[in-house]
Amino acid sequence: MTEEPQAPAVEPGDEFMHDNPAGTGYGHAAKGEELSAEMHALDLKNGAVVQYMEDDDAGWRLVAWVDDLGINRITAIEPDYFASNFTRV
Amino acid sequence: MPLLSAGQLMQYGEKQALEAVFRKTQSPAIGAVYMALSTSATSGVLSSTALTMADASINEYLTSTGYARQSYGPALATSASPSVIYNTASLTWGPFTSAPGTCNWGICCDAASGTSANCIAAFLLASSRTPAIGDSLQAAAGTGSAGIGFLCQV
Repeated sequence: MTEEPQAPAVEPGDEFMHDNPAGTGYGHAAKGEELSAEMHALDLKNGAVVQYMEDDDAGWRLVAWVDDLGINRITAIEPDYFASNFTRV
Repeated sequence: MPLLSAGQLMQYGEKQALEAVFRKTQSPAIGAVYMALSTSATSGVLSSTALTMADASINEYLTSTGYARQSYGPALATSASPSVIYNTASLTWGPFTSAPGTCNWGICCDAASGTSANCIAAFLLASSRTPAIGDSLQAAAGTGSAGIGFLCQV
């Protein structure tokens, strides 16, 4: 009997890249259509690198990142979305 | 950019401040504090005696919308009377993955997540905001002038 390899535990400070197969940002993916130019500029873009902080009480993953305007951000990511759309850097 | 009214210390913040300046206790260690958003009505709901984010009057946005508290990042308090403290950079929440409702308040607390965070101060937004799916919500950096950024004074 073989055991499934387990993914390494995620620790605070670990870095991941947003790697959505559709190539869209997090907000764009949620909305399902193009964002306005203003909101696009503030979106968590595909390819952005985030730093895992902690899970909140509901199990959503809090990640820290810097947006295109240079503003430090924290965003909650749905755990299944995180597992499927973020790859370890 | 929404204009934000002067913040008011809540019970936990008032007690911490008074006990520190009157040499009754050591001030809390240096650390980050965070700005939450609340859907509590502009009057008659949010209680200044709410000690933690678990209080029923807080009504914080849910993280299941993509929302998370943002680092407040204030500068040192000004050397003036009244002394004020305010955020030195824009704060931006989101992008939201579902509609989080209408926010009326910013609430500063001492943890990035969790209901055990202590409530420090409440800031009434001059204009309520209702972000949609995909939106991000921005607040201006403070300048030290009333009505700009999350400014708190004692």
